[in-house]
Amino acid sequence: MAKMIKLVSGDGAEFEVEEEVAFQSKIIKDIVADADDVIPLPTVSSKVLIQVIEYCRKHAAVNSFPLSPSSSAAAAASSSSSISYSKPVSDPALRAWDNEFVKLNNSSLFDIVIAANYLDIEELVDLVLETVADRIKGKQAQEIRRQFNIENDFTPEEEEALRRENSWAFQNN
Amino acid sequence: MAETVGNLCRKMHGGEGFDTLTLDLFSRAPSPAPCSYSKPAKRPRVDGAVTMGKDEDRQNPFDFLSEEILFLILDSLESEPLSKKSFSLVCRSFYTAESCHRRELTPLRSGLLPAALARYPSVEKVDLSLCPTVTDTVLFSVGNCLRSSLRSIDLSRSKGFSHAGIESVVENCANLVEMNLSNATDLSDAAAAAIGRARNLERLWLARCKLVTDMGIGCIAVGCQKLKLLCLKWCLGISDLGVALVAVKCKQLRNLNLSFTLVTGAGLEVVLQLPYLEDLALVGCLCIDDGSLLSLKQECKSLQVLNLSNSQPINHAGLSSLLNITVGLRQLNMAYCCMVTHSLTSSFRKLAKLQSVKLDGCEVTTAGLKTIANACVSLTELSLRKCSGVTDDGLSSIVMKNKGLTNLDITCCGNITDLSLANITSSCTSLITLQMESCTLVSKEGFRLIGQHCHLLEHLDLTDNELDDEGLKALSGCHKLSILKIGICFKISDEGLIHIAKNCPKLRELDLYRSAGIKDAGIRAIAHGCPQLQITNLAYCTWITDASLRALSKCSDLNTLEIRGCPQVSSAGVVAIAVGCPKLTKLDIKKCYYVNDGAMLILARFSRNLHQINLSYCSITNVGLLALASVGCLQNMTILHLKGLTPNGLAAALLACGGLTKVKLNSSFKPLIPRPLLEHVEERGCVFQWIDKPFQVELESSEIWTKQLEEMRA
Repeated sequence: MAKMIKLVSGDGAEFEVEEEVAFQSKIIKDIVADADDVIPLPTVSSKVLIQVIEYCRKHAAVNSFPLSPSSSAAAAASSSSSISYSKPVSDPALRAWDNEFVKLNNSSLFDIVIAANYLDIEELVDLVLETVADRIKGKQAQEIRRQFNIENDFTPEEEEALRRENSWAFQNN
Repeated sequence: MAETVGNLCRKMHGGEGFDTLTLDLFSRAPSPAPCSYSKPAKRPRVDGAVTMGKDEDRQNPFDFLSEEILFLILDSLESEPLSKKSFSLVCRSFYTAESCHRRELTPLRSGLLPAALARYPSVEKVDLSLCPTVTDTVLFSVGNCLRSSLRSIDLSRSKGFSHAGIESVVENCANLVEMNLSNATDLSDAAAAAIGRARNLERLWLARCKLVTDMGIGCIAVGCQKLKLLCLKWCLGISDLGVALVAVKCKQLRNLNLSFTLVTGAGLEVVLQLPYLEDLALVGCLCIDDGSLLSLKQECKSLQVLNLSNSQPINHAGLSSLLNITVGLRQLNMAYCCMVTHSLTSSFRKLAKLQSVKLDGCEVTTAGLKTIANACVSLTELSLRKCSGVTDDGLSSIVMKNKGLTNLDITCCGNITDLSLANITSSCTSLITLQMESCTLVSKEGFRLIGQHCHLLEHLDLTDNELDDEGLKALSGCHKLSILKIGICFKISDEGLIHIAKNCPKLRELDLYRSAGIKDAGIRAIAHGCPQLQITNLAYCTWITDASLRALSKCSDLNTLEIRGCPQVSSAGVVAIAVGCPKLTKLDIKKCYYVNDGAMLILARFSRNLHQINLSYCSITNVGLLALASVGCLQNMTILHLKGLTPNGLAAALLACGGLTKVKLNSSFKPLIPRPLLEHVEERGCVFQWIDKPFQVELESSEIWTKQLEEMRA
């Protein structure tokens, strides 16, 4: 019988998850090491916690039953390295699942990345931020504002001067 | 014309108004005051706020993300500098985040540096290689603004500073680790003494600093004891004494470049005693002769890379003695040295770890090559580029013994036949790079074998070969192809190219220079099948029309396009490229007679990354050139025989385009432009090349050109 950990969300709902699922979060892993099986997460709402647990459950399953030696090696390597955007998830089926998982609107994505950052789930943070970055790439400023519903707080003169500065002040690097 | 252009702009969505174009042309361009946008963001910095989903769509979702997360997003935009610039324009908090995040700055003009430094206080690396004029004042401001943040500065393309400026940078920036002062031909020992005060310096380039003497180098050796990389290429003022001082004091050196200096065997002996030396370059060291190498005794176990190219005095006796003490060598470059005979290459036997051998331009013997085959069994890289005397026999013996070969360069080894190809392809199936320009005896059988066996091939150069469509079809079996050069291949056509288009999706560079059998259908297929295309050369492919350019405009990563001598191309095609390829950096449309001002207006509007352009023989007038001059990063312009260009128009364009560093134009203009204006532009850092070429009325047809080529070869 796998050991169960209890997670309590900000609005009081309780979720019981297997140890290995919860341990995708380094923070939880550390807390449980200090002998505490009930972990309150006041800053994470139920809705977000459910999604995070879903991600952890999927990735825990893959990590414990690697489909090939290479994917477990990659998983081992990625858990010890710092955040880098060039390491893809090796298993194509898992990558496809990840891509489906992040098909959410922007505010849901941000909720998840804040929770994942708080819980220190590196891979999930990477995944969401890469998705956000993809939604920024190749866009002009106005398009980015429209995409994320951001208010333009520059005056027209400021914006024009900035635009000019960007174009002739320095190289694209 | 204006109406069509206006219509085009209206069709583009996401573009800002067309009216800003005229503003840019005549903007007052002095450096602006330090930017006031970096006021503290009014965004609350809340880590992990409870997001209960009220009015989610109205709030700025980024408000709840910490700066740390914004930095992570900017990290992942690292490869998209244009996106980072757009990011900074979105709102004040993004602007602030980007200002704090940026670590590397490459200003286009030194006058704009104070403003840039005020905006980016955390910059670690300042690359001034685009600023031809950098005064001491500019260096004072760099040192004062960035202080301990600055770690690296590149002044290799700049002139106008003295030791005072260097002193100020060194004194203010205690964390300076890397400094490139190459080409500072005016710098003397006073500057070297200043450099010697940069205690933490690890990497220093002083190539071509001819006035620095042993005294100056001594100051550096004593002061910069953490040096790991030192480049003294062409430092003719330095002798064995200076070199020995460096070798004795800078014990941490890993990488030393003494190319073209007057160092002799005596100096070399001291250098080889450096305990951690890994990479030593002795290109063109004509004072090191065979005799002086014979006395070398102490082992240099750490050395991995040795470049002895152009060192004609060295022969087999000296080399043998040298290789005796450098047994850990992995890479040996002996390009343009002596004849490659059995006695020379027999000393390769001492190098158990040898992986890379370069013998470019040497005269080789078959015996010499066969000895390499016996001596070296773990080669990954071999270059016999432009070597005379390479036979099937010699080459085959090497490749059959070195199955792990990944890089092979047999450019201009004109005697190589299908026999060698058979041996190469059966033995070296891990080949990644194969360069075979002008191996004209190889037939379609050879190409078939490449496609059949070398599936890991990424870089293939078959310029000037007897390649045909069947060969291209076979080569399309190399699915990983990234660079494909098939210029001067007169027998290929769309039929063959379409196979490449279908099977090589990773293609980034395609060179079809003068392969005139290629037409629109082939290029359309390539554009569709190879979306990662970055560099394309279609020069003198006279069947190409605007349709090809419209297709290529879908390749959004395209940065280099050469379509010179394609007379069927017009403005419409160039416009499509300008709009679809925002990363366009180099454009060559020489002899595209029908490209006119309309294209220039659109280029100016959309190609914000254009650095280099060749417009010779196009139908550009003053208007077009002036529009182009508004592109802030334009550096290199070739404008011979522009029909509608007048001296006044040229003068205005030269004045407006502040970033120019090189202009190639008709010498007939020289007396017509006011002398003070030319001097002003030159002082800004621009170099003029005055050309006297007469107007060539006709395009040379392929037949005439081929005949000229054959005559040249005979």
